[in-house]
Amino acid sequence: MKRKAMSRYLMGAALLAMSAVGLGSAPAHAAWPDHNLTMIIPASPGGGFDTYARVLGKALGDVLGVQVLPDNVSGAAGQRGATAAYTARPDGYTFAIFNMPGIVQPVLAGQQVKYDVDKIDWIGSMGFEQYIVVVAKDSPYKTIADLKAAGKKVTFAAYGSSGVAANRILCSEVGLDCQVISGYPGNNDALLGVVRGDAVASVTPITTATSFNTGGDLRGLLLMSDEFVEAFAGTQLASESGYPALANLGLIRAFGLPPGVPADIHDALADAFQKAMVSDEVKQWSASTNSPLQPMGAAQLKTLIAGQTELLTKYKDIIGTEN
Amino acid sequence: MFEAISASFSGLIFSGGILYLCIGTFVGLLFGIIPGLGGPTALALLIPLTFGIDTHSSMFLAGAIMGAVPFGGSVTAILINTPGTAPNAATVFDGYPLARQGKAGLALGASGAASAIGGLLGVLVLFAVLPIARDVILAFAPPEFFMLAVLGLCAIAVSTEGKFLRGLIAAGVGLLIAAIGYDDISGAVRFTYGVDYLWDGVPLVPALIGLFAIAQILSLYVEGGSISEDPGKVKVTRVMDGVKSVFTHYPTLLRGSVIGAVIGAIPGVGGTVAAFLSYSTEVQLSKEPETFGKGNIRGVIAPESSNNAREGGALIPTLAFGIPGSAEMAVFLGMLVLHGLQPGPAVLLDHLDVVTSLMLSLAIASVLASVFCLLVARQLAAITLIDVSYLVPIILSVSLVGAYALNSSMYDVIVTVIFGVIGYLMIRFDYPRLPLVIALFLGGIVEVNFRQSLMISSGDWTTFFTRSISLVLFILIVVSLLLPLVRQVFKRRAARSGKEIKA
Amino acid sequence: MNIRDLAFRFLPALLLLAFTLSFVVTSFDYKADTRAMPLVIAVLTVVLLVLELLAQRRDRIGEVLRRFFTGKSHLPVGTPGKTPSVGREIGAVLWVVAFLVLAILVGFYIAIPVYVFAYLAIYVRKPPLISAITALGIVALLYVLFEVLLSYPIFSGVLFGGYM
Repeated sequence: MKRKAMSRYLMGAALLAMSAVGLGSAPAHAAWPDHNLTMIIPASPGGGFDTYARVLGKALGDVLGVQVLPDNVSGAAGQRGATAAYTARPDGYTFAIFNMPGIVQPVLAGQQVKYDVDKIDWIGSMGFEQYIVVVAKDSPYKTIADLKAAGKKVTFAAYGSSGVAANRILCSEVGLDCQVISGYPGNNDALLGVVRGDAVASVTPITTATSFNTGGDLRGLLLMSDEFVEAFAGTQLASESGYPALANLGLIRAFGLPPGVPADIHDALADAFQKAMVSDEVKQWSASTNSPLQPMGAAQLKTLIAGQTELLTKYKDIIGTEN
Repeated sequence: MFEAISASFSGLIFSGGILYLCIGTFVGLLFGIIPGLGGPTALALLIPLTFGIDTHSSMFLAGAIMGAVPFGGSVTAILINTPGTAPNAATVFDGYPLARQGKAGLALGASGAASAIGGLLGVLVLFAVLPIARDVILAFAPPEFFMLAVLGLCAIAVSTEGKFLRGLIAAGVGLLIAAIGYDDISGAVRFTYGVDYLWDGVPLVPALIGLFAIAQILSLYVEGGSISEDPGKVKVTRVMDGVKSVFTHYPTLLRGSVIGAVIGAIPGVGGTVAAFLSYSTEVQLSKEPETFGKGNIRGVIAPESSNNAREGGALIPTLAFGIPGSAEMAVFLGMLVLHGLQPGPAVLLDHLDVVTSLMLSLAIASVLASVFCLLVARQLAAITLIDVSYLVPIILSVSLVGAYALNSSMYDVIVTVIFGVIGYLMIRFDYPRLPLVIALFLGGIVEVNFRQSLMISSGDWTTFFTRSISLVLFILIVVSLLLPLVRQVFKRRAARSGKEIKA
Repeated sequence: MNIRDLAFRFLPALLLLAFTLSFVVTSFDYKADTRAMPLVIAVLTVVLLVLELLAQRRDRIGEVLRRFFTGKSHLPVGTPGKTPSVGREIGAVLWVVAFLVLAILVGFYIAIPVYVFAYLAIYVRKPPLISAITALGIVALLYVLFEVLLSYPIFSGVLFGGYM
């Protein structure tokens, strides 16, 4: 470990010296990768995106034969990390995990951002995390129709801007009169809010709900997905209840390169990415932690991103308004 | 339960657990001592390393780091007036004055012993509360979080160093700074004046490093000399007296530990409140509150015991609900998941042995870190004798790198320097800095939970007084604000009746 | 009553007043519940600052206020303790800022030894050898900690392509 780091340093120092005297410009990428890769994670350590990225990074490093060093660039709801990745040197040595829809939302809200989502050079995705509507286990509501029939304002607990947006999109798609209670410091906190009665329901990522619910405190009301989930057996699907569009919504754990990376390097990385995704290490982790994996290639990922952007654009005004 | 404990012990002794425990303790101490670095950074950097080792050993490593960081942070708080980690901010109140009086050894001894025993007591509380953890956690909702944070804000009253008006002004400004950035409730962005960086608000730890470490450098530079006012007077041999003082002040120790463990166990308030709260409780219960802030040893024991006890408490919501009770717990949570342990009520049933390993290492590391540091306390205390010319560049480079490492952001470093200048100006113009710090810490929590409470109750103000725990906390707030006033009145009366009685 | 004394007594509160008033003004750009809390705090702080300004006056009101808030009616002239020279203070800040700029430009691993050596050898006139050892010692320590033990990249300077 120490020796490896040492040789990396010597190489780094040599590169530094080279670039300092202006020799570093020659793109000798024939032997990519000849040193460690940097993976930008636009979140602080410990969260979902960080965990996924680190697991992938390790497996990817094994495939490529170099280390993939995670670099957490958190802040500004992921925008700082996205900007860092987008403006990184396009030499194939820096890539990032991007938070979809996190990076599109500010654009739709009319904010100035320093990246262009369409120009990100996608290499693939680890998963597409869809949402579920949950209530407390002793709640009188059993279906989304019950909520509608309640005839009063329904409270929803939400975390973060993506969470608030997801809750609002559900309410307007279904036609619920709802009040979103925002400000929780995490998804689990919002779910705890549902359990202790702060709010009636919450729209939350399915995996979050599954892991939170090992004690059986929650009940599923509506799966915003096309597939059933074992942990919430018996919960209606979005299409069954007549809201198929809701299945388009979700967090995409997408990986990409800054624009301008040579095509051969892009292909080599995308290839290694697919290999890493099916490595035993990643599979084992996924199985033992109940973290869903849906390996996706660049083309498939692009289609998914387009579909989601469409849905978000439809609800642009709802997303943009303040709570 | 006993099976799990014995499994943990055998893991500790026979499968190399003790090695990881020692490494973790050392890393924790080091990261605690360097301003800016702390438990969250240490754990985040070590996560990839734990891939290669089994779950028990990683728990020993993580537990040791979390157990050792708080004490490491107190070392810098006492010696150079710079809290090594955020929760140590309360320790500078009395720790640094002691160092200036040449009693750095005494303060370090007290801090070490208080940390060790506080850590042990915290783990005991954790064991005791585990069966009812669920009910405890569910009993606290936004109205209670709000009241707890306000109770923490009351610490401002005892931190103004006799400059009450200016203390309140500093607190007001601190609350305003805390309001900068993304508003969690409405999703609006406030007071950023077009600067993207400010979206996340003014980062706390860099501001803290600036207000203390950089401001300290500037004033050391201007004053020259050494930290200890009279180098000839320094007695670094008084470490054992410090250790003893913890036992003579055992009520302080117990109060600090219980406050730490309980606040730690309540998710959503954050551990820093615990240290401030136990400090202000101590001042308010004291018969001679005016001696605090001038080097009262109880002012070191209270926050330090609560800091270490807090880690034990913070494990409860982390394990039972996956809700981190402190910043390091948030990172630790990620590590648990990486090792295939999904936090939730099931962890306590399915993986009790892992939990006991963790508790064991928390407890042992608290003691180990203290013992280790007490052995070198003499050398550490000698820092206060060093020629300031050398200290200035060393502290400056280390703390700025620390500020950078926190988030890999040079903007954080710029914030650090700006707050350094602000901190120096506050020293120079005689404004107390601690009210500003307390307000920065608690401003966000107070506002979010206040507004959340009102949203949940549909705008009904009585929600703060109709819930029993919230009401009790409110009464505590009133009492803690009135107590000093009542005491003052009595004292004035006493002074008037017998003029020879000294305050 | 000289200018320095006046500045010492009134300038901090006036600056803070300007800062706080800017919050009051800006908060009107936001919706009612978004601005409520900051606005209330800002207004309270303005009141406190006005009291502070009054308390600094050398008249009856000032004396009453001082006695109420601090228990002392005496108003010292100048800084408590020895008054450091303003030039020395500005120098101190400039050294820190210079180090910051250097670190931003060329990164910490170059800025630290340069700054520490310059500061020790040139500014406070310590023996060059000891200065050099201190400078290299600090950077070696940080380097071993971050790069070797933790594989944690530290900022390398905008000139060398580092991301702020």
